[in-house]
Amino acid sequence: MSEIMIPERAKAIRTLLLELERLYNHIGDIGNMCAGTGLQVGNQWGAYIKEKLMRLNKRITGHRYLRGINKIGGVTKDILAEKDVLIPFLNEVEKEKQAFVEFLLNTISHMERLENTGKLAKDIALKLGATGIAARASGIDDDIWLAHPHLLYDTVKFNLITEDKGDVLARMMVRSKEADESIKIIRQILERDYPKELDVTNTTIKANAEGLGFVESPRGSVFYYVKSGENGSCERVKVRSSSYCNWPLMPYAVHGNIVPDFPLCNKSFNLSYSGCDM
Amino acid sequence: MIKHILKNMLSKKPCEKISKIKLDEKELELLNKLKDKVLKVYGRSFRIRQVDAGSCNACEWECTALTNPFYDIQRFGVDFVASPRHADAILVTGPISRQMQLALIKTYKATPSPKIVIACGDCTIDGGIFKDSYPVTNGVHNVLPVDFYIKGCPPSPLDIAEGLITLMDIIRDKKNK
Repeated sequence: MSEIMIPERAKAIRTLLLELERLYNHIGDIGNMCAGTGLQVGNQWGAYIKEKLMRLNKRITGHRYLRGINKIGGVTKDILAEKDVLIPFLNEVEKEKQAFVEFLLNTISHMERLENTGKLAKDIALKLGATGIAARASGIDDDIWLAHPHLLYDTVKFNLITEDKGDVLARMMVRSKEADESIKIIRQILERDYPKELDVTNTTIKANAEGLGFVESPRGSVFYYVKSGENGSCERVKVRSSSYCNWPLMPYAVHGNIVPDFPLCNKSFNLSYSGCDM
Repeated sequence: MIKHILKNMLSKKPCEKISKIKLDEKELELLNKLKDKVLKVYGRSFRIRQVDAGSCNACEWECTALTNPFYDIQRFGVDFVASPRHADAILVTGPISRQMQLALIKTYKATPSPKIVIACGDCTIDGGIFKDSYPVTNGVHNVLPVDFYIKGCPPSPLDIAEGLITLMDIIRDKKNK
């Protein structure tokens, strides 16, 4: 819209932020799935690791939800300078996350509820246009970072995580493995050196220009269409949230399951109620 | 299966790890203050019904974060309940979208008197970044009588706790009048 390219350092920071976001959401979601089976210890453990990550966010970016750091043409704060805080913290979180997932996998009451519950067949997921975790747990290799890599995703190494079974356990395992991938990506970003530039100064937005933004959020792909007005102000915004794609999958996933498993299936998709019509 | 059960019994209990959490002295002091106030005004039981009126979910997550092992707000006498019938106060988040306006009014009517309306987050004050947009009503005060505002986008769990402390003072003063 203003025909600028953001500098390399801003790209690295934006990638880092996306991965931090994915990390705290995935770990929080694994914890929330325990609420569906009534496993309070797991629920609180997940909340504990999530809160730790939120406090890290607050410390390095000044906001618990990583807001206010992106701006047109770059970023506002150089969080790569907080390397010394990030690396030991990530090591700690990685260990805690492993212990947490191991505990869940060894809890029979939890695993029995997860296995073979809320199965979503691959062909249904394909037909209804599933995205994100729901698609990957059913064996579809749906990932924006592989289809349209931007930021630093074409240079960092990461694996696409898919599971074949399509049940609640598969979705939990995809989350768990992707959290590991996130930590791996963050480490790779922190290893490299970047030029010091944080942003581009010339950021006039043209009149009547259009732009499309897309990222792979923790829930799935998210699209933003923006149109500018006469004086470069924002005239139209259209959001396509991942919940919009994934809500139609729910009836197929819960079909044939016992009633108490409904909240579990619901939580395994982690869909937003407000996002169902966007 | 027996092998698994034995293994679980012998392994370290996860609760031990969580019990090691320590809040800063300042944070703990704040939460203890909340406990005292809630004890004086509401007899150690202040129940909140949270209503999402078009919020982005950040405020909801911060309310949920209040119940995590770090803050564990229940031990200070504050809890979130699942029905307005059980609530002393309703905590509204979001810019009050027109779709949620009726639901919010119904929730207000279902709450037993004396009821308190807490507006949580910048959106509830004047619509926030959605201000003057067609689907929102620019703040709770256009729909319901508001007793207390908590600012922040989103307010952190401690901000909410701090807000509740001030709210308790306000209610106590009203009672004494």
